[in-house]
Amino acid sequence: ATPWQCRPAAAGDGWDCRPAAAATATAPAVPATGGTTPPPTAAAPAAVAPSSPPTGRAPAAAPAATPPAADPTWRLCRPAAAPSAPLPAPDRRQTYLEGDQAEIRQQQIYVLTGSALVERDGERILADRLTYDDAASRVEAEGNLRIEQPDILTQGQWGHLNLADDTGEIHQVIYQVPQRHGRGEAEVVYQESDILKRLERATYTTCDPGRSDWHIQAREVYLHQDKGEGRAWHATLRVKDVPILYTPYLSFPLDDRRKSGFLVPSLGASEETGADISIPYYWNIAPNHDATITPRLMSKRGVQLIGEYRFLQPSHSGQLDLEGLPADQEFDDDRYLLGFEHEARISPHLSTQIDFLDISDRHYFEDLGSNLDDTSRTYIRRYAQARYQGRGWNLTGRVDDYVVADPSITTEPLQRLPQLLFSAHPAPGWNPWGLDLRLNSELVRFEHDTRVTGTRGHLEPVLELPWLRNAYHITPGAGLFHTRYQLDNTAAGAPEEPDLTVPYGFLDATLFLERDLRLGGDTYLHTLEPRLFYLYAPHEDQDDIPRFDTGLSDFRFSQLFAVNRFSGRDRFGDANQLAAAITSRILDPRTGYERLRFGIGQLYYFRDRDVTLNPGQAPETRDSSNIVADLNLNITRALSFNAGIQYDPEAERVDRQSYRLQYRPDARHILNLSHRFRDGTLEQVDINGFWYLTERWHAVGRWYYSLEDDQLLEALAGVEYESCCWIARLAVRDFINSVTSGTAGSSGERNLAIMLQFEFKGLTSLGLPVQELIEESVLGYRP
Amino acid sequence: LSSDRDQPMHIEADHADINDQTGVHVYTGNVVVTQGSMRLTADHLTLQIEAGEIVEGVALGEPATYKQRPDNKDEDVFAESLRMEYYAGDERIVLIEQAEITQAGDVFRSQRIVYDVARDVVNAGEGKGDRVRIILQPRNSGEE
Amino acid sequence: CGFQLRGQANLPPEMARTQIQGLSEYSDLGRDLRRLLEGSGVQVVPSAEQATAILDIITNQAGRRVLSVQAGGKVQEYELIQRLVFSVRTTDGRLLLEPQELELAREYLYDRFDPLASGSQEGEIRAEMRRDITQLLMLRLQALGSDG
Repeated sequence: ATPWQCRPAAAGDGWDCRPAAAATATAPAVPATGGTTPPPTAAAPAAVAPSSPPTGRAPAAAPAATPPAADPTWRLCRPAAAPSAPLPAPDRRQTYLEGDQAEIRQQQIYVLTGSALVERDGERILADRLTYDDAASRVEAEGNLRIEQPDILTQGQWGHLNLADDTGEIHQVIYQVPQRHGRGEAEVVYQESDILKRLERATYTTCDPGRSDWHIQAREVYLHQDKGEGRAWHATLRVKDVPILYTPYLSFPLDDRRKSGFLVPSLGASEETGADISIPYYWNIAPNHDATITPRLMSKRGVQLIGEYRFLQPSHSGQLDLEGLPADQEFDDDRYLLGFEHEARISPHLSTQIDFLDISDRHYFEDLGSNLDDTSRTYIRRYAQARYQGRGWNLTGRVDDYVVADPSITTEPLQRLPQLLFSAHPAPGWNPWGLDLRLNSELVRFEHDTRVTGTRGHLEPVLELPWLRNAYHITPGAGLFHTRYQLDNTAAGAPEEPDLTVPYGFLDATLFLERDLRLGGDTYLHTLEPRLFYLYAPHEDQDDIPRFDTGLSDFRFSQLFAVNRFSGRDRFGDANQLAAAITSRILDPRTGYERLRFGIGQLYYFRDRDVTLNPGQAPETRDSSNIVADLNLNITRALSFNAGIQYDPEAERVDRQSYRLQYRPDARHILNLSHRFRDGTLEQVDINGFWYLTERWHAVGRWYYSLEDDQLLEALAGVEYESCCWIARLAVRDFINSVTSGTAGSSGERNLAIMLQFEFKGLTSLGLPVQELIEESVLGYRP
Repeated sequence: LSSDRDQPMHIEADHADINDQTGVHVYTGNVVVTQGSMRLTADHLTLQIEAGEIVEGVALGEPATYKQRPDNKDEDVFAESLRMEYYAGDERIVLIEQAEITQAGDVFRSQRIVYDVARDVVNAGEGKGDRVRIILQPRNSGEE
Repeated sequence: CGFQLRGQANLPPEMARTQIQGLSEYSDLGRDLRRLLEGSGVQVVPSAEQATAILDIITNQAGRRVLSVQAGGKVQEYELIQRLVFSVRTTDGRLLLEPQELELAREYLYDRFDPLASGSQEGEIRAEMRRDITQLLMLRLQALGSDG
């Protein structure tokens, strides 16, 4: 007969039996045979006694292997232990007993022997011999004792447990925390409540049984199952039984929730800091507040304390950074950093942002920065702003200024105290002729100790008549660029209220051509989009207009269609020019995925450009611009090639070019080769990559060389060996981090830094500093 | 109830075969025995009588059932099995094959259950691959 | 050479009434996207109940990275990155376009002595990239439409 799977019926009396095969399927419950006889017996087939026990539960069976843990952290380990069978529902109040023999005394004391088993409230106790006192709800167990609870499995020699208040003790224990692949031994486990266990003379590790590369030995370990945290007191960290660290207190996670605890410590050394040891401590204050406190010991400089406090609320979030290095021996002064970031969304329309930073001196990042992103900083913008976004317009109020982080820069930049920006772009329906109005305006007050300062008002309405058809887009338009000033401490004789008003007109026309293209068996959509952009703007003398936030924009493909060759609002370029460009794409028609995008264009000037950045500069007389071309090519899903070239037809030389080849089959294998050239400014090669050589050996590397200055800007080599329960990392970095002399082109000071990290998987909760190292040096790395 | 012993015992059956010399009484067909709170039903009942007292009894049924109200309990004890043996001397009841005892929702099930009425001790399980299964309802007192 | 004028470039019929999720409609990108969608005959609706299709903006990240440093180790070029991951599904649960990733990167020369000018240039490039990425998104949708 097919074995029956019997479970206590929901109604609480009798059984709900189904053919075992269909146990999980929702086969209709076989109604137990009713009839007059007292409570229904198991609906076993007629007179033949069920030979095999219906549920076939072998209590002392070896733990069944669970499906491989979803968490990749443990992919190199053997599967974690699991209960011998699915645990009963935690809310089932009945007590279920089973054994080969049973003796029941006075209907109160149940003595079960032979693979005995007790189940209640989602727990299961197995032993050779169990004595259960029903009145006191107390179980005494001895011989192959196993207690299976949802998140922890405990095996021992003997013990007793009160099922009502979940107290008890187990002796000579081996325990396992499957979710974190954690396990250990203990002489005694006192179960203090259903969520707290106290282990005496216990050990904990996440390594595979039989291969304890490291473990913690502690006089007492508390397992707080509600918080998902283990706390060890008087703990010694042993690697292959060699004690390497004693700590009075150490906590470790029992599940994936964020927990306070030590992050991955890193030991390193560099010329700037000497020995450099930092031990970050992550403090999970509350679900939406946390802090990371990192003492950083530097032999050459002293002890720096780095604090980062973060808070996250539904409508606003922020971060506070405090760094202090009292009495830096190299710098012989105190050094500090204070940073505050805050973002709030007050309503769907109104949002505020604050980004504030202050550093004690300009050498701060050069000396203490640990990566190129930090040490290469020159200015740090700090601002506070409120922004109201309406349906077709938005208003922004902002104050900002810049902190100088480059010692070779002596001039302080301008401050904008305050700046008001209003821009509007009403939906097209506001007029019957399809006119499209865009308005940008600004009112700003510039402050500075020595330079010319003042208030500037700016207004730039633009009217367009877009004529958009499937085959072509034609957009004639006109705009007015108007800026007015009220200046202070101007030079003698210079006007105090200059203004600049330049009307301009443009015509933008694009034709859309397409055809089908067969490429390697697939048909693609091949488009060709020729585009013409004519711009006319009269010349207006701007020599007496100050320059607050204007610069000559870096020439690139999209500059062909820009109405103003200057960025900012203090200059408007005179223009009588025509841009001609072609963009071609090869698209996968089903998904629109772009295999290739190529654009090439050039500007033809019909008159000289008299407006210059600074008074007295010679006008531009060339009659055509550089030819600019961009190519984005996805050779395969994993291999992509980007190139950009600017060719100067008059000087017949390449003005700028950049190539980048990226091979990125998956997140674990990335290789970037890039070459950048700007005539007279830079020529650099950057090769970087992150590669899983094998499941265990991972390498990261970067070679970033300046051909122009014949100098290695950064070299990085890092290797990582990952085992089941630990990761060791070694990284060597050699990078430029400061400028000896102030003039451009001077050679920089080098900084050789070595970093060693040893991570005990499962002991430290999160935050891998090395991840930032990879993210910043390997393009496209996203863990 | 311990008082059951003083109650009159009634036995009904389709037919009976009484043999006073050997003291063996055999009842077959819808056998029902009642005495105070005790009630026994079976298809076939053999009693050994000595000096007017039942010394032993064997009941067979599909299953045979037994009900009695224990002292100071407000719920009956139900028992059933394919074969029931009763030994008056040491007050033992032995249930064999598909044995089951139910009392106030608690269920005991095994292939062999021995109920020692005097010492109020139950022993279950034959050991040959047989499993004893017990379900106890939650005690409303000791619950946390 | 086989090129002819683009026949039609309308969006898939299921997108007749589309709701944009994952993006505030008041944000710059939200406004540009709404304008382009309405420009090609799609009605942008505020709630899913009224919609026939939903445009999910799964990721919308803007980043900046040091692209190159000069001899003194100071930043010389910044690279601005705009990454948009979106998908389109009909309100009855059919996936019209599985998640697509658009990524634009533009670099510019950083003027070490005039951060305000560089800041203006960065702002203008960000605006350019926003327009371009919405254009790319429209092209993806139109490709879907034409294939229909």
